Amino acid sequence: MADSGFAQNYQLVSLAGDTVQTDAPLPPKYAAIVRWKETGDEEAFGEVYRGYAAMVHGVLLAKLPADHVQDAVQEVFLLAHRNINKLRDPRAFGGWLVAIARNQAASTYRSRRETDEITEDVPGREDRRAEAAEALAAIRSLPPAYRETLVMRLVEGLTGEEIASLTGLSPDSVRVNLHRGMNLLRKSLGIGK
Amino acid sequence: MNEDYLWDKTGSDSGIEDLEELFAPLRYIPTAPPALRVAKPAQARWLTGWLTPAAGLLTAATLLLAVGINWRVPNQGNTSELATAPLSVPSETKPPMPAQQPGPPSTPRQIEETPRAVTALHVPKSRSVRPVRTAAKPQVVKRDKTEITEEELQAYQQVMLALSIASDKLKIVSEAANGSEE
Repeated sequence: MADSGFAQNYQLVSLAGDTVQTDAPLPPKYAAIVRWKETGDEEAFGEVYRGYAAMVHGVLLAKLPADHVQDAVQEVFLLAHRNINKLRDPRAFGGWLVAIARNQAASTYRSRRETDEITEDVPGREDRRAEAAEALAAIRSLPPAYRETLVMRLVEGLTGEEIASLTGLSPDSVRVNLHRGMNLLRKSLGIGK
Repeated sequence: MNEDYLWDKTGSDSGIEDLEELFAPLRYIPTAPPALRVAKPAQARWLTGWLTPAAGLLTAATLLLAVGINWRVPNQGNTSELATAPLSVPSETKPPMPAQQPGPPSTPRQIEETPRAVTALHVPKSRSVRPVRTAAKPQVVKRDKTEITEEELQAYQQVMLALSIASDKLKIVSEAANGSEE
C-alpha cells in the first residue's frame, strides 16, 4: 500500500494556499491512514482510532461537558470515515481531524443547548470528577489557542511532542501555547507563581 | 514552573503534577473503535429515508393533479367545451367578429382580409385576434384566467410545490449517492 498513488503523489498545501508537489516518501506513521483511505480497512481504521482518540477527546473536552465527550469521539471518527476520501495529504490528517472534532463539538453544543440537555457534573455526585470539571471550566475560559493544547497536556497526559505530531502544529507553537496557557491557568486558579 | 516537565514530563513540577492528578478523572478511557459496518448501513438508511418520502411526495403530487383535473370536469357545465378548450388561455380575448361586418373598411387591406377570415384560410399574425370559421357555428366561450377558482389555483400551487420539493430531494439523494460512490 505504500506504493499507492495516494502515498506517492500527495500534495502539500502551503500556508499561502498554493499547492506544491513533493516526491518525499511518507513517514511510516501515516501508513495506517493511507491503508484506511485506500481500502477502507477496518483494522487500519482501528489503528488510527487508537492513535488519535485521546487528541480528539481533548479537543472535544475543551468545549463540551465531560458527559457528552465519549459519544462525540466516536461520532467524529465515523464522520472522518465517511469523508476520508476528501483528505488529499495524509500528513494533514491531524489538522483535518481536529477541524472535524471542533465542528462536531460546536454542533453538539448547539443541539444540546437548544434542548437544555447540557449538564455539567453536579458537585457532590462524584467529588473528584466535579472538582476536575470545575478546574476544566478555568481552562475553557482561556483564549481558544491555549485551551485545546492545555487539555491535551494536562487532562489527556500527552507530551508537547505528541501534541505537535498529532495536531500538525509546529513544536514551537505548542511550546508557546503551553507556556502562556499554563501561566494564565495558574492565575485563574490562584496557584502561586 | 519547570518548562521541561511541562513539555515532555522530564524532571518534576509539583504544581503541574497536582493539576494532572486533578484532571485524571476526566482523562480519555480507551474504548473500542466504532464499527464501520454500522456506518455503511446508516448511509443506506439515510438514502432510503429520503427516497421513501420523495416517492410518497411524487405519488401525492400525481394524485393531487388527477383529483384537480377530475374536479374541474364536473364543475364545468359543457363537457364538450372542456374537451376542446385549450389549457392555456390567451391573455386577451376579443369578441368574435361577425361574418359580415357593416361599415366601410378603413384600409384596402382589410377589404381583402375580411372574406378570407371567414373561410379561416388566413391566420392573422396577432394571436389576440382569432379567426371566425363560420358565422353559423356555435361560438366557443374561452375560459379566461380569471375563471380559475381559488381552489384550483391553490391545488395547482400545491402540486407545483410538492413536485419542486420532490425534485430537490431526489437531487440531494442523487448527489449523495454519487459522492459516496467516489
